[in-house]
Amino acid sequence: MIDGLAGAFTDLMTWPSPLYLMLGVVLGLVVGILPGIGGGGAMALLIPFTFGMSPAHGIAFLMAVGASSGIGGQITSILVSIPGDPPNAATVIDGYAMTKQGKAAEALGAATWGSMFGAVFGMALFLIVLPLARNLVLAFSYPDFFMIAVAGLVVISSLTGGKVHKGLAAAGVGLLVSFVGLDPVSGNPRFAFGTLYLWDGIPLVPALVGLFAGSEMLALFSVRGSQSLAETDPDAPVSRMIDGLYSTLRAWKTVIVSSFIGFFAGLVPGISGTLAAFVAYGQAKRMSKNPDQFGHGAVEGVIAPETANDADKGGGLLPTLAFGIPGGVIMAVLLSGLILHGVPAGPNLLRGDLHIVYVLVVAALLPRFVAGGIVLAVGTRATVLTRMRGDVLAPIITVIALIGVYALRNEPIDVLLALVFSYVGYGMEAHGFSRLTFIIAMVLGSLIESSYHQTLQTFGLRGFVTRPIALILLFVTVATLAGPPILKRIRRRRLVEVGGDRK
Amino acid sequence: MSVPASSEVDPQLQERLRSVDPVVFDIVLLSFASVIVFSALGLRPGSRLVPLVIGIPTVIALVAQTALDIFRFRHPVQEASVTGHDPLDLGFARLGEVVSAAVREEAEDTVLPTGEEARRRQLLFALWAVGLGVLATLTTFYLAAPIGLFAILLAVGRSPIKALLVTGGVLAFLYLTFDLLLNVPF
Amino acid sequence: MHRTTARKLPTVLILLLVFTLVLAACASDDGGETTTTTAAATTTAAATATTAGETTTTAGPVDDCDGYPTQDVVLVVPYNPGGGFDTWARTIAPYLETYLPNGVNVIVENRAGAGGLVGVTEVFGSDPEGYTMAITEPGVLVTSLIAGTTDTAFDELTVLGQLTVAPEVIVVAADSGWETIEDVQAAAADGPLLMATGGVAAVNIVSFDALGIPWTNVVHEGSGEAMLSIIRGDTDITVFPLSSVEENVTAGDMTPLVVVGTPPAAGQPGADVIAGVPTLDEVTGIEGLGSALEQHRILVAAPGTPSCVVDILDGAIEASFGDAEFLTLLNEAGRIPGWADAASGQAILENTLSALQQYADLLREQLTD
Repeated sequence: MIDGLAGAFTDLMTWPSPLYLMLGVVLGLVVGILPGIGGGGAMALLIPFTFGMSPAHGIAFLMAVGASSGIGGQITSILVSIPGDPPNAATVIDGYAMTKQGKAAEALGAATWGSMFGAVFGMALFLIVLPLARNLVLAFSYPDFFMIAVAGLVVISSLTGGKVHKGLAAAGVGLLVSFVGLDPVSGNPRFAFGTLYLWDGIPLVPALVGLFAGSEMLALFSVRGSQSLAETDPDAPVSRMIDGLYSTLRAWKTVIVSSFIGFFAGLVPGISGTLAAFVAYGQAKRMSKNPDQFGHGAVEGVIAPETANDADKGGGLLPTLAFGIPGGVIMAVLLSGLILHGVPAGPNLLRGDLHIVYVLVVAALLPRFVAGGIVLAVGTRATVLTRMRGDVLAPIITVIALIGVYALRNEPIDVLLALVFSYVGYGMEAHGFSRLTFIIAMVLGSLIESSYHQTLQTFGLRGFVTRPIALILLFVTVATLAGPPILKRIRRRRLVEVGGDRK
Repeated sequence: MSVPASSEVDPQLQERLRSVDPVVFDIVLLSFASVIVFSALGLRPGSRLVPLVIGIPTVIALVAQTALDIFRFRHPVQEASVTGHDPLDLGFARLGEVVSAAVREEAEDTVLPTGEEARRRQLLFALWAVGLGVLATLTTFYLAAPIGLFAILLAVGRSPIKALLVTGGVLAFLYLTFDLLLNVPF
Repeated sequence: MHRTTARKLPTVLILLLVFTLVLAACASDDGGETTTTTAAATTTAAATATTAGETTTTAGPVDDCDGYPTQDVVLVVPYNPGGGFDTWARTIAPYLETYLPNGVNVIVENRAGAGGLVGVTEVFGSDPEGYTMAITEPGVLVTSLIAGTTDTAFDELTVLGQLTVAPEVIVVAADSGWETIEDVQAAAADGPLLMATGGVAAVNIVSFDALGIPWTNVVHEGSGEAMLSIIRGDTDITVFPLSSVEENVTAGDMTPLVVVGTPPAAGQPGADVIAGVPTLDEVTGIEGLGSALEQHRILVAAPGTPSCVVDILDGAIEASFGDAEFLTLLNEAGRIPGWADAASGQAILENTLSALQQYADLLREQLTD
């Protein structure tokens, strides 16, 4: 395996490959920074560009674009609260909070390092698990998807906070929003009221951009108008990128756990990187020594999601290569890119020449390091944005965001939808409804409903309790829910026994 | 409440107006949820199951929330404590206790306008954004973006030259990235 | 009061003046040409308005194909990037560019949604000047038309030609124990089979009705997940294009039972995979059913596109298929060229419509609530 990797590495290092890699990295970064259009879309647009290249170069180029777009997306998420891609949504929460506290550089550094670690772990796990690829992918079925989704909901419960009823309402509305679209039972449109626009449901990216960016830009403009975005304490040490590295190293447990979460999310085709990011976020909060910091600039809240969604790419290669079944837009484009260049991805790929697999792995990792390096070197320049006046920065960001949203599907109504969700985001912020809960519910809703019906149709009701993976997840979910309160009761009882009457 | 003198109307009226906001928002959410629930009733049993199971409790929760906010609106003298009433006693509540301090912090942290000036700017920005969106949808971004950007930069008091420079710069950036690079049609 | 009105008056006048000038400018391009095609009438009216997103100039109507094309042509892919249609579009676009006169660009745009209907609807409503076209499949359009899931009269689209035709294959898991379709028909006596779909299409409904096999729909997010569920053994049977199932059959995960449509000729990609498998026409005895259900990829433009424009586009497509480089690219990608000209393409659309018309009730029942 090592020779295989080394061979692939030398392949990619022989001129003119590095040129294509660099080009892909730069393009990917730029695309990632632009809100709305994501790595997958850019990759598709650039496929014809690769026709003249040899397969290895073409694939490497495309992978470079896809890989760097994730890193580019972190920049906008952290600096201006706009998720470059849905998986960056979780990063926005603490990342932007850190920016407001003047710690943008640290946040960027942490996110970049987290991404790189996550990518390496993800790929390492991929290579280790490769011989078992088929069995692993086939091991997950509908009841397991359902349980994973329910576990995701449990994450919500821990993020809801005191106003439980409002949190539940936010989750409820989020779920209802996700039900708009294709009916998981008949496959026909539901709640679309006869429109083509709603046929496939309420699109995630415009909603996301509106929800998070909307109220933040509004606040930036109106409240901090004459001030700069970042509020720095003049006595505090200047935040640096390298602080991000230290934070990431300190949070090594979070990094490892998030990598596993991301990898498994990628492995299971129904689970998106977005979900992985949120689950990793929730898990990091649960594991953290200072959970209250989450939402207000906890650096782990930046590390966890970014690590997870990079590890997700490693996991995502498994179903793609083992079955030719892509786990997301990036994988789908990669697949067609492979096919166009005469590489038949599919079950036979893994049985035959593994060379192309190694090329893929190296092509996935290398650009991340290069992109990460670029960000680390140049990123502090970008933080100058945070020193611009709020009332100048906000309109600029808004214009770019709206255009990015439009560019995604060339659908003008998406822009209006983003505005509608800006109001919703503003309302939620102002009146105590958790946007995070809402967004998680929105992402989870259709998965929960479809896997529920699928289980009933294929396994019947018993399906939920007869499969090992589902059972384990069920147990974990129940333990997470009931655990803390039970532990608390036990502790209280001990206190009473030890200290006599509390009253 | 006594009839206030004309000079005192504004702040109190503002106060009351502000407490309408929660009600309005609640009603927005409630309308959406109700629409979903009502149209779900007309679906086949399989298709309507989950939406109703989720939707009906959500509607109930929102109705309760709306009622609560209307109550607060009518009696603004009442001290609106952070935890207005007992949270539902589920497992969640325990976890909720743990982070309720964070929630209170969060409520304060939410940097949303409280002052008069800020509120006006808020309205300005909101109207501008909507106008931009509508203009872009009706015509094209090439037109709407520069017009919108230039207009608002002037509105916040930047000099026309600066505004022009910024608008030009952003336009160039947009052209380079979206048009040349990505071939996105406008 | 007077002052403000007086101040407003000049502004109003100026606006009116500008407006009339614009109108005059657009009108002068018509130059009094009269044509009988409805195309001219619609384009005159539309010339003064800009349709957001498609045409960026307000050029006059092209009733005599004067210098067509004068601007870039947009090829709409009504699916997400990375799929079969997307790949076809992006592969042929550069060649269309080469073979269209005046050196215009062909720009590929993704407009996914509603199972491929959003993009086509947009092209349907665009100006019939030949600057917007879509890649789509007659089956999807006809199904929507018959079942009434949308209001668009897709049969009025102008067909520019067919790019390829490929059969669909009914497959089951290799370890299901079923070897022939008769085995399945026997098993179905015990109750409906579970069919994994990424969404229901005419091919599922009609072919299984013709085979007399009852089925229950298990909906999935996409074809990939549907196929995985077959391999896992969670569902029983499914129908997908040959290109989608090819790999899995070769790998020994799936067994093909029936070919819906015409199998590729010997030596072409996919031929050996389904060698010896009976066709739907053979099994059911219904002639031409397979050809109405298989996957034709066609290029369409707005209804009423002038015939001279169609000729030019048709010619460019034909020339692309004569280009050795293009054919090599296709071959490497495992795609089979299956060019048919505009007239044939139009016939294919009409045949599909008439063939599926008799299943109208069945389609409506499945596809509407």
